[in-house]
Amino acid sequence: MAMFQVKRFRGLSDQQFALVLVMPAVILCFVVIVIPILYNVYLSFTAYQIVDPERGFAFVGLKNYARVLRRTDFLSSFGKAMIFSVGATLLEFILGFAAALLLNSQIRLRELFRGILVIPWVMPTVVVAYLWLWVLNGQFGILNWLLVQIGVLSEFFNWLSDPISAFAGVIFINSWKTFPFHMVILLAALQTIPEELLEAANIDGASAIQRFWRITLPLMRYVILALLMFRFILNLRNFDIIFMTTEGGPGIATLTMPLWIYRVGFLEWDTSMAAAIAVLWAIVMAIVAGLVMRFGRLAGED
Amino acid sequence: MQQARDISTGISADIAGLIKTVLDRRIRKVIGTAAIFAGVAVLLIMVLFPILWMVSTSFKVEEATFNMPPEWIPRAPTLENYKSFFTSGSMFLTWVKNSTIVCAATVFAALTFGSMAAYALSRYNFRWTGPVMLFFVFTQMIPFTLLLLPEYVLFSKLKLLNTYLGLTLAYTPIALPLTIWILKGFFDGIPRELEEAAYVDGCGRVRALISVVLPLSGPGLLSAGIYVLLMAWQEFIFGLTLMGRPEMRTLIAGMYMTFHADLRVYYGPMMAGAVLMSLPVVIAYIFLQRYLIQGLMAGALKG
Repeated sequence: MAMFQVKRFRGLSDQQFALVLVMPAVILCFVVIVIPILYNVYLSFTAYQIVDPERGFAFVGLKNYARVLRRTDFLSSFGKAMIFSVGATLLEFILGFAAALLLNSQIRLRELFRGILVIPWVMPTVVVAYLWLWVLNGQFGILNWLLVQIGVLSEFFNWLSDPISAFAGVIFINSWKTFPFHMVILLAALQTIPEELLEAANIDGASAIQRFWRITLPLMRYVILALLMFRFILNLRNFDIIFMTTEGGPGIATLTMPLWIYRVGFLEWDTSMAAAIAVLWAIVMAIVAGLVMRFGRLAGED
Repeated sequence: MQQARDISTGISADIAGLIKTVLDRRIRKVIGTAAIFAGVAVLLIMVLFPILWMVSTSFKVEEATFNMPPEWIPRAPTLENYKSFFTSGSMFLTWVKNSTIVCAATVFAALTFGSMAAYALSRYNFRWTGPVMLFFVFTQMIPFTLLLLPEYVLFSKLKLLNTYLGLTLAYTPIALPLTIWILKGFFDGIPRELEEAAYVDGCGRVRALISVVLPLSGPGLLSAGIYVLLMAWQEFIFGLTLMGRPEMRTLIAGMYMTFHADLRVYYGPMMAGAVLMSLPVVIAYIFLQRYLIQGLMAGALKG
């Protein structure tokens, strides 16, 4: 670009011009994301309570953190967030990969099927939540009726009121909505695999299963790894689906960390303690994200 | 003689073997295709069944929703469940208006700031490209519940609670990283020579961006735009927290409050509401499917 005599916009160099273009986006993210985080850190060291402003911002040191660590909810909701994220990431990946493999074959109406399967992903989360609340309903749910009809259940079961099935339920509802994301990306990745390679293996007598394990999977490992890492980190912060279906219940059965922060901050109205939990959770998230990425890099190298 | 018979049996065995392999292959192919269709059918049922059940329930009178065995297709279809949202007591239309305003503003802001940043990152050998990209990735990993509380406190101090500006301000940064990611991919695909030609013709850098690059990035803007729209339309928790006044709620938060815990027995109206909330995005998706999937892949495969 330097070869041309470019009219300077108010005499800025290319570097300065690029900076001007980038700044609005960076400033916006800084003001709305970074500043609240810093403010949150500050709140976590004070006695501030949003419902009791009289108390002001008196500095209390690590008192809020001590209070957090004394609550057993801390470890339990940390563990639940981890289990939820692992379970949800695996389930949505398996469903998405199965769908991608099926749609990668030469079947008729493929585009239409793909179009239909993506619908859950564009539906608003609250709709997905309501839909499944109704299907899983303990008294009039269609799923219960069907399962009783085919003899799997002897009587109606309240899926979201039992700690274990509620946990499995939120994982499933989440994956029902998010598997199309995996499907679309894996389908695109599948289509980059050279046809000749699979054809040659076929002629050499490799079965479909062998071709999958020996050719397809190794060629896709970077995409799969990146996808799993990305989704794992996003699922760790999942809030909406759980909040709208079980609200963390029954009891604390599905109370993952994001739900607990909300409960403490907006239901118990303990502002400064919620801030302290959030800070601890952010640190944990950063460590987990770092570890996941390092692991991904190691696994990607060999 | 013996030899001739050997040869002939040998040949017939070969032919038999050949027929067997061909048949085998055909049978296997048939079985394979059947298995694929069966698999696709399972997935389609898993996706469509609950959706169709929602639509069916939304057209039922209250008593019919509790019927066992279920009425697959309502015997006496009714629009009552839908009507309730359009009576004078309902805030449904106000919420639709709020959501539309916030979504439009968010899409506009995200595309404007996003295309500026993406252009800089794509075209200029910008010194800070690495750190800037890292910064945006970092903002994507923040759990939103972490932002909720401080944002609520800050926005209440800045008098931004219950304002369209406030919610747009909250949404735009959430949408920006992905917008930049998608648009950068599209800008990378537009040949630099076009702008260089424009420079020769005496265009400035700003004009080259506005009148040469942007008109060519229609599909990219659409891809990123529908992404932002989907995110902003269904966003829930910021809408719920930052817009506390009933008349300022977004559609999603408003409907959530309508069917709050105790009221989750009126499944007819609830399903009608769910259908109404899905309609705009599902329609947008049907028309813009290609761009949505392109954007998704552009964002994903380069990462």
